[in-house]
Amino acid sequence: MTDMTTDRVRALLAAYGADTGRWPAAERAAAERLLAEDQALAAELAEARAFDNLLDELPAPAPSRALRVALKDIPDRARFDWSAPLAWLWPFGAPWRPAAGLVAAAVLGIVVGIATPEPTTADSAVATAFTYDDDPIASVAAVASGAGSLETLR
Amino acid sequence: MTGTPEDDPDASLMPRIAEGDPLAYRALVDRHADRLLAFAERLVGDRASAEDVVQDAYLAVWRTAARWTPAAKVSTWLYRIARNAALDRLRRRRPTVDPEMVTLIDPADGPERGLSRSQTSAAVRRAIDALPERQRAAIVLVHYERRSGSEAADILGVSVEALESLLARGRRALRAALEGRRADLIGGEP
Repeated sequence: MTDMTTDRVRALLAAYGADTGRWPAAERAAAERLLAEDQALAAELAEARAFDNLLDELPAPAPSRALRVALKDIPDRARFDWSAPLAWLWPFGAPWRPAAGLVAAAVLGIVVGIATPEPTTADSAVATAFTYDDDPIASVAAVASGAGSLETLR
Repeated sequence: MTGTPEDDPDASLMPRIAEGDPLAYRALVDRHADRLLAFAERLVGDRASAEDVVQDAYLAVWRTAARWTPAAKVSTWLYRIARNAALDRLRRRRPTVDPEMVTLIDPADGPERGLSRSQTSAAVRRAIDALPERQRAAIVLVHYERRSGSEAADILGVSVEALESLLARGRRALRAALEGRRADLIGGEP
């Protein structure tokens, strides 16, 4: 038998509210007896019940079927753990660092490639002239004057 | 009562999950996912974050089931994992503030009267969100999830006396925040 006091009943009301089903089982019966006998405590119980009702205005969150499906899928998704092979490939710490370096280098290469102008027809002709012609200066002059076919250069 | 593994219907699932049995794991999802989602949603305040919390929790269960010991009921362990996952998210959301210490007060949240039921539930939501995290967790576990005092204390890692103090302070703060609406509901003066 618990030694129940009005102070303890007030403390239980303050912590757990009016529903004695939430109160510690070991103290419940003694507290309920005291509540039944004490008018002041009964009034405090009614006050606590009104406040509980206000808290219950917050609706219960609805379950999610999609979440349940996703949760049940976890064993399949977790079956292949990428961390082990990544650790084997890069045992020096977080693998995102070298991966980020590779991506940055690739992006830089693409940007430089796009920014560099493509060779013009004249450039090609000049290069051809330097490769095949005996007199490169005359060949360049010919290209510059607009007579730039390979046959003309030869 | 926290309960013991002898009266815990989930205890037999844990060794099977630890051995990689997906059927046992899925049974645990069926038994607890909805309640954990409700707990997480009331704790973090929004649905998307709550779903992430529950996914984090169940991923941890799948990966670390071998670490479960029969000292606590499986449901207690699950709530503890979910609460830790929620705390992680709350900390990331407010990186410069300790969510256990802060009380957010919206200046627009003064006592209001004569509002609709949906507005009342929104006010309750805001008042709960504004509680310090440990008080909020205590209220959610005991009032909304109907966990016993000893189980809630176990989930939060505190004594029953400390839990009762968190509950009393939380309820007091909620009363102050909702004073006008409470008077509406019981038909009295604020």
